[in-house]
Amino acid sequence: MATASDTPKIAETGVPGPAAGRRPPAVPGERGKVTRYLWPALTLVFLIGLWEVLSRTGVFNEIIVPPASDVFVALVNLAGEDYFWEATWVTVKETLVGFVLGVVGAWILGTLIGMVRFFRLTLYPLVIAFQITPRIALAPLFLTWFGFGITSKIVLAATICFFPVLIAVVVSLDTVDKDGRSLMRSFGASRWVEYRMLALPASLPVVFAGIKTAVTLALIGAIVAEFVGASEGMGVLIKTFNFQLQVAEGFAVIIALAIVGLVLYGITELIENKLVFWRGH
Amino acid sequence: MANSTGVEAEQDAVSAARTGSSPAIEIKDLGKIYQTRHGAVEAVRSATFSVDRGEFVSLVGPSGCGKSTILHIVAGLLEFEGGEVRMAGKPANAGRRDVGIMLQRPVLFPWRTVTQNVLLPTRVFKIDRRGEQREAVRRRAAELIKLVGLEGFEEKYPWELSGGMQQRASLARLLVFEPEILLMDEPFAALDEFTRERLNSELARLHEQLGRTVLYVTHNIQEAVFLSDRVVVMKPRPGEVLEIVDIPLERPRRIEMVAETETAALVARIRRKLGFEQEEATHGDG
Repeated sequence: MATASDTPKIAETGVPGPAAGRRPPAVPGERGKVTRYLWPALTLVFLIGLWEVLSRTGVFNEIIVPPASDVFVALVNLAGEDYFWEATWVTVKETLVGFVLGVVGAWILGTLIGMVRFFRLTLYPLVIAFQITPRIALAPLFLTWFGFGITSKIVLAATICFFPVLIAVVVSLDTVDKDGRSLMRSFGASRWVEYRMLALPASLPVVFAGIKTAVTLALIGAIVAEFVGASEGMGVLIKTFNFQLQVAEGFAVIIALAIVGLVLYGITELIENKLVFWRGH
Repeated sequence: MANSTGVEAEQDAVSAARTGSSPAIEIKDLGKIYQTRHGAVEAVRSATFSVDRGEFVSLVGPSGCGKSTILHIVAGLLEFEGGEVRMAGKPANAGRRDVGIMLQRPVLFPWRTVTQNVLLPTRVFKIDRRGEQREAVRRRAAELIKLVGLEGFEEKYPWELSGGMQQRASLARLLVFEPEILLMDEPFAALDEFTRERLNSELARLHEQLGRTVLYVTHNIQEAVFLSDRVVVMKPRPGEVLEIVDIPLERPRRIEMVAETETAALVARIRRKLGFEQEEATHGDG
């Protein structure tokens, strides 16, 4: 935001160009970008190199901690296998469906709690209490209830990503600008109109912070549920490779998992940047 | 101001009904008590004054004198305990098309462009629905944006504007649905001195041009004198009206008038009334 002190200047010159007063970042910004990516990349290369050396020289037992290059080879080999892509697809499906169900459900319930006093009094305390119990402990129960298939994984993923979104929705609705509310009320806006035109858009930046947490949690939920009991998915692959002492392959799946997580997070952030373009202002 | 009795109030109402021109804003014996954790706080005690149609009246006084509370009550945004508030003969109520409020902060929605922000009230009032209406409202918004000096910024977002420009957009939004009565709660208090002076002289011009009724809240005595036809002087704890001062300065008001003897005398009088004589050297206009 421009400072108030440059108002007269702008007013006098009439119509400044679109970029007036928003120039500075050009050069430092470019350098900032390089720095932002270069340093973490160099650090990563260094750590992988260290890992390789320590494994190859026998400081690490090669069977338990295979060298980085072996993991890389395993990853390339896996990429050529159909069963790997099938497992990846299963896990991604569980994560996404669970994520969407969890977010939509939490958004609806959070809105009810945030907007309707009755729901705040009755449901909110229970929600907080339930939030404190570790949801991962529910995985065996869900397995019993929903079976070995994809459903129990979806339910766990949805349950885990439910709370951060719900809390974000309630908090964001609680902190909607008071003056904005006064203004809408002065126009005689109904609660629904006030919600649609003020509270909903105003809540988006905070809600998206919750959603970004939720997307990573959904992946955790899917994998944990697969660990507890499943016949397919990346979690199953990791367990199987570990049992067979194919540690390099196990590592490779974990790296693939990290990539899946990054892509899902990236997509969420992309949607956020499109939808909440005013964030930070 | 003496408290008027019920009979007097009734007679006033009858005479107003007979002449068919009730004042734009009529406040009688208004009382407001806030319930806080530390007990009840009397924010306003038996305030009585009225604002005629087309008149510019300022409420002036230090923080806690209840001036802002009165404005919010008049806007229908706050309940009150005692007395009577009538706007153009009808009880104060939110959602009236003939009343608009402007706050100290611009309160522009960051997801809406300047034009969309200016059009906000017309969307809530649903006067942008039918084709020709929509066209008229849009034309009006464009004219107002020009009037407040934001031409060329129509499609900018609020965060791309300076504080002064944001408050100009807020002013255009206030005027877009053509309210008869404008309620302004320290609209320029958060701006720097130069911008505020500039916007005040533009507001004076706008008021003289459009002839709307204005109730203006400020803690700046000079600003109140420069803008107003009458100044309601208030004191805090409890908020009470001390005096209503006529401002017989000629219109149109020009910014140079601030330095003239007549203006200075009025400012000094209000200042004395508020008991600022001793503090003057250290405090400025409080």
